[in-house]
Amino acid sequence: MPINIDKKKFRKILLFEDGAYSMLPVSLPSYNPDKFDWSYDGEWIKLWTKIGGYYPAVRTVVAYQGGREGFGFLDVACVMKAPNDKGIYFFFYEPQKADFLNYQGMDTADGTNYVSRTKSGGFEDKKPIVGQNWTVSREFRIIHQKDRSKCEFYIDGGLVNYHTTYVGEQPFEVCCAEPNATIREVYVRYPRGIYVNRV
Amino acid sequence: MFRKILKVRTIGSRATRDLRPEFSDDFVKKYGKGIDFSVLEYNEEESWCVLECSCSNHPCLETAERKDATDLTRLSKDNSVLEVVATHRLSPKIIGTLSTSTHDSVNEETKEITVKGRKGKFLRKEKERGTDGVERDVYVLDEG
Repeated sequence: MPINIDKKKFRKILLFEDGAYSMLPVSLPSYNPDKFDWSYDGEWIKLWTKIGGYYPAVRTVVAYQGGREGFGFLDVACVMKAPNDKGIYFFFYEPQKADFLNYQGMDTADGTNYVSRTKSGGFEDKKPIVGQNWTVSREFRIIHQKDRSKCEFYIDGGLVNYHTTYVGEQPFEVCCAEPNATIREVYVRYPRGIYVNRV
Repeated sequence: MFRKILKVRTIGSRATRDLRPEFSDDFVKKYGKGIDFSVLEYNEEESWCVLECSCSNHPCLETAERKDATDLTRLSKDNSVLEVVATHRLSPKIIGTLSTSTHDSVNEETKEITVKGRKGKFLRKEKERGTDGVERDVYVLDEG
Protein backbone atom coordinates (compact mmCIF):
# COMPACT_ATOMS: atom_id res chain seq x y z
CA MET A 1 0.00 0.00 0.00
CA PRO A 2 1.47 3.38 -0.97
CA ILE A 3 2.12 5.79 1.86
CA ASN A 4 1.51 9.45 1.16
CA ILE A 5 4.04 11.65 2.92
CA ASP A 6 3.76 15.41 3.07
CA LYS A 7 7.44 16.13 2.42
CA LYS A 8 7.27 19.72 3.68
CA LYS A 9 5.63 18.62 6.91
CA PHE A 10 8.03 15.71 7.28
CA ARG A 11 11.03 18.03 6.78
CA LYS A 12 9.59 20.48 9.31
CA ILE A 13 9.30 17.74 11.91
CA LEU A 14 12.62 16.10 11.05
CA LEU A 15 14.66 19.29 11.08
CA PHE A 16 12.68 21.21 13.73
CA GLU A 17 12.32 24.15 11.36
CA ASP A 18 11.90 27.51 13.00
CA GLY A 19 11.43 30.38 10.57
CA ALA A 20 14.74 30.99 8.85
CA TYR A 21 16.52 28.22 10.77
CA SER A 22 16.51 24.46 10.81
CA MET A 23 17.51 22.87 14.08
CA LEU A 24 19.66 19.81 13.58
CA PRO A 25 19.10 16.70 15.67
CA VAL A 26 21.81 16.65 18.33
CA SER A 27 23.15 14.18 20.84
CA LEU A 28 24.34 14.88 24.34
CA PRO A 29 27.21 13.07 26.07
CA SER A 30 26.36 9.55 27.22
CA TYR A 31 25.06 9.31 30.79
CA ASN A 32 28.12 9.13 32.98
CA PRO A 33 27.35 11.05 36.19
CA ASP A 34 30.68 10.30 37.84
CA LYS A 35 32.57 12.09 35.09
CA PHE A 36 30.21 14.58 33.47
CA ASP A 37 26.55 15.51 33.58
CA TRP A 38 24.00 17.78 31.97
CA SER A 39 20.73 19.49 32.80
CA TYR A 40 18.15 21.67 31.04
CA ASP A 41 16.24 24.68 32.43
CA GLY A 42 14.01 25.33 29.41
CA GLU A 43 16.44 27.75 27.78
CA TRP A 44 19.96 26.48 28.31
CA ILE A 45 21.49 23.02 28.25
CA LYS A 46 24.12 23.05 30.95
CA LEU A 47 27.01 20.60 30.69
CA TRP A 48 29.60 20.20 33.34
CA THR A 49 32.60 17.99 33.76
CA LYS A 50 33.38 16.65 37.23
CA ILE A 51 36.86 15.35 36.55
CA GLY A 52 39.41 16.16 33.89
CA GLY A 53 40.49 14.04 30.95
CA TYR A 54 37.14 13.74 29.18
CA TYR A 55 35.91 15.37 26.00
CA PRO A 56 32.09 15.47 26.09
CA ALA A 57 30.34 17.77 23.60
CA VAL A 58 26.94 18.59 22.17
CA ARG A 59 27.07 17.32 18.59
CA THR A 60 24.97 16.47 15.60
CA VAL A 61 24.13 12.82 15.23
CA VAL A 62 25.23 12.65 11.59
CA ALA A 63 27.65 14.50 9.30
CA TYR A 64 26.46 17.19 6.89
CA GLN A 65 27.74 18.76 3.73
CA GLY A 66 26.88 21.61 1.39
CA GLY A 67 25.61 20.95 -2.09
CA ARG A 68 22.14 19.83 -1.14
CA GLU A 69 19.36 22.01 -2.52
CA GLY A 70 21.92 23.88 -4.60
CA PHE A 71 24.00 25.27 -1.74
CA GLY A 72 27.76 24.90 -2.09
CA PHE A 73 28.49 25.55 1.55
CA LEU A 74 27.77 24.33 5.04
CA ASP A 75 26.40 27.16 7.20
CA VAL A 76 25.70 26.12 10.78
CA ALA A 77 25.58 28.04 14.07
CA CYS A 78 24.89 27.79 17.78
CA VAL A 79 24.57 30.13 20.76
CA MET A 80 26.60 29.26 23.83
CA LYS A 81 28.17 30.77 26.90
CA ALA A 82 31.00 29.58 29.06
CA PRO A 83 31.76 31.40 32.30
CA ASN A 84 35.50 31.22 32.81
CA ASP A 85 35.74 30.16 29.21
CA LYS A 86 39.49 29.69 28.81
CA GLY A 87 40.24 26.24 27.49
CA ILE A 88 37.05 25.62 25.54
CA TYR A 89 36.37 24.30 22.07
CA PHE A 90 33.42 26.61 21.41
CA PHE A 91 32.09 25.50 18.05
CA PHE A 92 33.66 23.29 15.43
CA TYR A 93 33.27 20.95 12.49
CA GLU A 94 35.04 17.58 12.27
CA PRO A 95 34.46 14.73 9.80
CA GLN A 96 33.62 12.73 12.90
CA LYS A 97 34.02 13.65 16.54
CA ALA A 98 37.69 13.62 17.62
CA ASP A 99 39.13 13.78 14.08
CA PHE A 100 41.28 16.71 15.16
CA LEU A 101 43.51 16.46 12.08
CA ASN A 102 40.61 17.82 10.03
CA TYR A 103 39.10 20.27 12.55
CA GLN A 104 37.56 23.61 11.50
CA GLY A 105 36.51 25.69 14.45
CA MET A 106 36.82 28.37 17.11
CA ASP A 107 38.45 27.67 20.45
CA THR A 108 40.65 28.82 23.26
CA ALA A 109 42.15 25.38 23.72
CA ASP A 110 45.59 26.53 24.82
CA GLY A 111 43.98 28.35 27.74
CA THR A 112 45.23 31.76 26.63
CA ASN A 113 44.41 32.69 23.05
CA TYR A 114 41.07 32.84 21.23
CA VAL A 115 41.65 31.44 17.77
CA SER A 116 40.03 30.06 14.64
CA ARG A 117 41.63 27.12 12.88
CA THR A 118 41.24 25.25 9.66
CA LYS A 119 43.00 21.91 9.44
CA SER A 120 43.40 19.47 6.58
CA GLY A 121 45.15 16.16 7.12
CA GLY A 122 47.19 17.56 10.01
CA PHE A 123 48.18 20.84 8.31
CA GLU A 124 46.87 23.81 10.25
CA ASP A 125 46.14 27.50 9.62
CA LYS A 126 45.51 29.30 12.92
CA LYS A 127 44.47 32.92 13.39
CA PRO A 128 43.64 34.95 16.50
CA ILE A 129 40.09 36.24 17.07
CA VAL A 130 40.26 39.80 18.37
CA GLY A 131 37.92 42.54 19.55
CA GLN A 132 35.26 40.32 21.15
CA ASN A 133 33.40 40.56 24.43
CA TRP A 134 33.96 37.07 25.78
CA THR A 135 31.98 37.55 29.02
CA VAL A 136 28.51 37.18 27.45
CA SER A 137 26.67 34.50 25.49
CA ARG A 138 27.32 34.71 21.78
CA GLU A 139 26.42 33.12 18.49
CA PHE A 140 29.16 31.16 16.75
CA ARG A 141 28.71 30.45 13.06
CA ILE A 142 30.93 28.79 10.47
CA ILE A 143 30.35 29.01 6.72
CA HIS A 144 32.46 26.34 5.08
CA GLN A 145 32.74 26.21 1.29
CA LYS A 146 32.38 22.73 -0.13
CA ASP A 147 35.10 23.32 -2.74
CA ARG A 148 37.49 24.10 0.17
CA SER A 149 38.23 27.55 -1.21
CA LYS A 150 37.41 29.31 2.06
CA CYS A 151 36.06 28.96 5.58
CA GLU A 152 34.40 31.98 7.24
CA PHE A 153 34.05 32.37 10.99
CA TYR A 154 31.28 34.64 12.35
CA ILE A 155 30.58 35.77 15.91
CA ASP A 156 27.31 37.58 16.71
CA GLY A 157 26.52 38.27 13.07
CA GLY A 158 29.90 39.71 12.08
CA LEU A 159 32.66 38.01 10.10
CA VAL A 160 35.73 37.75 12.34
CA ASN A 161 38.17 35.50 10.50
CA TYR A 162 38.48 34.37 6.90
CA HIS A 163 40.66 31.35 6.04
CA THR A 164 41.74 30.19 2.61
CA THR A 165 44.60 27.86 3.58
CA TYR A 166 44.36 24.24 4.74
CA VAL A 167 40.56 24.19 4.53
CA GLY A 168 39.32 20.66 5.24
CA GLU A 169 36.94 18.46 3.32
CA GLN A 170 33.22 18.02 3.97
CA PRO A 171 31.09 16.28 5.24
CA PHE A 172 31.34 17.30 8.88
CA GLU A 173 29.72 16.54 12.18
CA VAL A 174 29.02 19.78 14.04
CA CYS A 175 30.06 20.00 17.69
CA CYS A 176 30.01 22.65 20.40
CA ALA A 177 30.78 23.24 24.06
CA GLU A 178 33.66 20.85 24.54
CA PRO A 179 35.53 21.59 27.78
CA ASN A 180 38.91 20.31 26.53
CA ALA A 181 39.42 17.70 29.23
CA THR A 182 39.15 20.25 32.06
CA ILE A 183 36.60 20.72 34.86
CA ARG A 184 34.11 23.43 33.92
CA GLU A 185 30.54 24.40 32.98
CA VAL A 186 29.33 25.30 29.52
CA TYR A 187 25.86 26.28 28.31
CA VAL A 188 24.18 25.83 24.92
CA ARG A 189 20.93 27.66 24.16
CA TYR A 190 18.15 25.25 23.24
CA PRO A 191 16.17 25.77 21.12
CA ARG A 192 17.75 26.34 18.60
CA GLY A 193 20.67 24.19 19.68
CA ILE A 194 22.80 23.59 16.59
CA TYR A 195 21.04 25.03 13.56
CA VAL A 196 21.39 25.50 9.83
CA ASN A 197 20.87 28.97 8.38
CA ARG A 198 18.37 28.83 5.54
CA VAL A 199 18.60 32.46 4.42
CA MET B 1 54.50 35.82 7.19
CA PHE B 2 53.48 39.01 5.36
CA ARG B 3 50.79 41.24 6.83
CA LYS B 4 48.97 44.48 6.05
CA ILE B 5 46.19 46.43 7.80
CA LEU B 6 43.39 47.80 5.63
CA LYS B 7 40.29 49.91 6.18
CA VAL B 8 37.61 48.37 4.00
CA ARG B 9 33.95 49.05 3.16
CA THR B 10 31.46 46.57 4.63
CA ILE B 11 28.15 45.11 3.50
CA GLY B 12 25.38 43.41 5.47
CA SER B 13 24.58 44.02 9.13
CA ARG B 14 24.66 42.32 12.50
CA ALA B 15 20.84 42.37 12.47
CA THR B 16 20.79 40.20 9.37
CA ARG B 17 23.80 38.26 10.71
CA ASP B 18 25.92 38.89 7.63
CA LEU B 19 28.15 41.86 8.44
CA ARG B 20 31.33 41.39 6.42
CA PRO B 21 33.96 43.19 4.36
CA GLU B 22 32.64 44.02 0.90
CA PHE B 23 35.32 42.05 -0.91
CA SER B 24 34.81 38.82 1.05
CA ASP B 25 32.23 37.30 -1.35
CA ASP B 26 34.54 37.31 -4.39
CA PHE B 27 37.81 37.33 -2.48
CA VAL B 28 39.13 33.91 -3.54
CA LYS B 29 37.96 34.40 -7.12
CA LYS B 30 39.88 37.68 -7.36
CA TYR B 31 42.97 36.98 -5.28
CA GLY B 32 43.20 33.19 -5.16
CA LYS B 33 43.82 31.06 -2.09
CA GLY B 34 46.58 31.89 0.37
CA ILE B 35 45.52 35.26 1.77
CA ASP B 36 43.58 35.21 5.06
CA PHE B 37 42.27 38.09 7.11
CA SER B 38 41.06 38.90 10.63
CA VAL B 39 38.65 41.75 11.26
CA LEU B 40 39.95 43.99 14.05
CA GLU B 41 37.12 46.51 14.26
CA TYR B 42 33.71 47.19 12.71
CA ASN B 43 31.97 50.54 12.38
CA GLU B 44 28.54 49.41 11.29
CA GLU B 45 27.03 52.92 11.16
CA GLU B 46 29.66 54.15 8.73
CA SER B 47 29.92 50.79 6.92
CA TRP B 48 33.63 50.19 7.27
CA CYS B 49 35.90 47.84 9.11
CA VAL B 50 39.60 47.55 9.80
CA LEU B 51 41.06 44.16 9.02
CA GLU B 52 44.51 42.67 8.95
CA CYS B 53 45.37 40.36 6.09
CA SER B 54 48.24 37.92 6.09
CA CYS B 55 49.90 35.42 3.81
CA SER B 56 52.99 33.27 3.54
CA ASN B 57 55.27 32.08 0.75
CA HIS B 58 56.60 29.11 2.71
CA PRO B 59 57.85 26.43 0.29
CA CYS B 60 55.79 23.73 2.02
CA LEU B 61 52.58 25.45 0.89
CA GLU B 62 51.08 24.47 -2.45
CA THR B 63 52.38 26.77 -5.18
CA ALA B 64 48.98 28.40 -5.72
CA GLU B 65 48.70 29.23 -2.02
CA ARG B 66 52.09 30.94 -1.73
CA LYS B 67 51.52 34.67 -1.54
CA ASP B 68 53.80 37.55 -0.61
CA ALA B 69 53.93 41.33 -0.14
CA THR B 70 53.21 41.93 -3.83
CA ASP B 71 49.87 40.14 -3.50
CA LEU B 72 48.96 42.19 -0.43
CA THR B 73 49.82 45.39 -2.30
CA ARG B 74 47.52 44.27 -5.12
CA LEU B 75 44.79 43.56 -2.58
CA SER B 76 45.24 47.01 -1.04
CA LYS B 77 44.24 48.52 -4.42
CA ASP B 78 40.85 46.76 -4.39
CA ASN B 79 37.91 49.12 -5.02
CA SER B 80 36.45 48.45 -1.57
CA VAL B 81 39.66 49.40 0.28
CA LEU B 82 39.38 52.90 1.76
CA GLU B 83 42.93 53.21 3.04
CA VAL B 84 45.99 51.31 4.16
CA VAL B 85 46.40 51.69 7.92
CA ALA B 86 49.85 51.73 9.52
CA THR B 87 48.88 50.30 12.91
CA HIS B 88 45.81 49.39 14.96
CA ARG B 89 45.40 49.06 18.71
CA LEU B 90 43.97 45.54 18.34
CA SER B 91 46.53 44.28 15.87
CA PRO B 92 47.83 41.06 17.44
CA LYS B 93 51.49 40.29 17.84
CA ILE B 94 50.96 37.11 15.82
CA ILE B 95 48.35 37.30 13.05
CA GLY B 96 48.74 33.77 11.78
CA THR B 97 50.46 30.45 12.32
CA LEU B 98 50.94 27.70 9.76
CA SER B 99 51.91 24.33 11.16
CA THR B 100 51.77 20.64 10.49
CA SER B 101 51.60 17.46 12.50
CA THR B 102 52.15 15.25 9.44
CA HIS B 103 55.22 15.10 7.22
CA ASP B 104 57.18 12.90 4.84
CA SER B 105 60.42 13.40 6.75
CA VAL B 106 61.90 15.78 9.28
CA ASN B 107 65.44 16.65 10.37
CA GLU B 108 65.31 18.32 13.77
CA GLU B 109 68.98 19.29 13.72
CA THR B 110 68.82 21.27 10.49
CA LYS B 111 65.15 22.17 11.09
CA GLU B 112 64.21 20.89 7.65
CA ILE B 113 60.88 19.27 6.95
CA THR B 114 59.39 17.68 3.84
CA VAL B 115 55.62 17.59 3.35
CA LYS B 116 53.94 16.14 0.27
CA GLY B 117 57.30 16.22 -1.48
CA ARG B 118 57.91 19.91 -0.73
CA LYS B 119 60.93 20.73 1.38
CA GLY B 120 61.27 23.71 3.70
CA LYS B 121 62.41 24.92 7.11
CA PHE B 122 60.34 24.87 10.26
CA LEU B 123 60.62 27.39 13.10
CA ARG B 124 60.09 25.15 16.12
CA LYS B 125 58.44 22.00 17.41
CA GLU B 126 55.54 22.11 19.87
CA LYS B 127 53.34 19.61 21.65
CA GLU B 128 49.62 19.80 21.00
CA ARG B 129 46.60 17.97 22.36
CA GLY B 130 43.38 18.28 20.36
CA THR B 131 39.75 17.22 20.59
CA ASP B 132 40.87 13.61 20.38
CA GLY B 133 43.00 13.85 23.53
CA VAL B 134 46.08 12.60 21.65
CA GLU B 135 49.30 14.51 22.23
CA ARG B 136 51.32 14.95 19.06
CA ASP B 137 54.30 16.89 17.75
CA VAL B 138 53.46 19.97 15.73
CA TYR B 139 56.02 21.70 13.52
CA VAL B 140 55.46 25.43 13.09
CA LEU B 141 56.25 26.30 9.47
CA ASP B 142 55.61 30.03 9.50
CA GLU B 143 54.35 32.58 11.99
CA GLY B 144 54.20 36.33 12.29
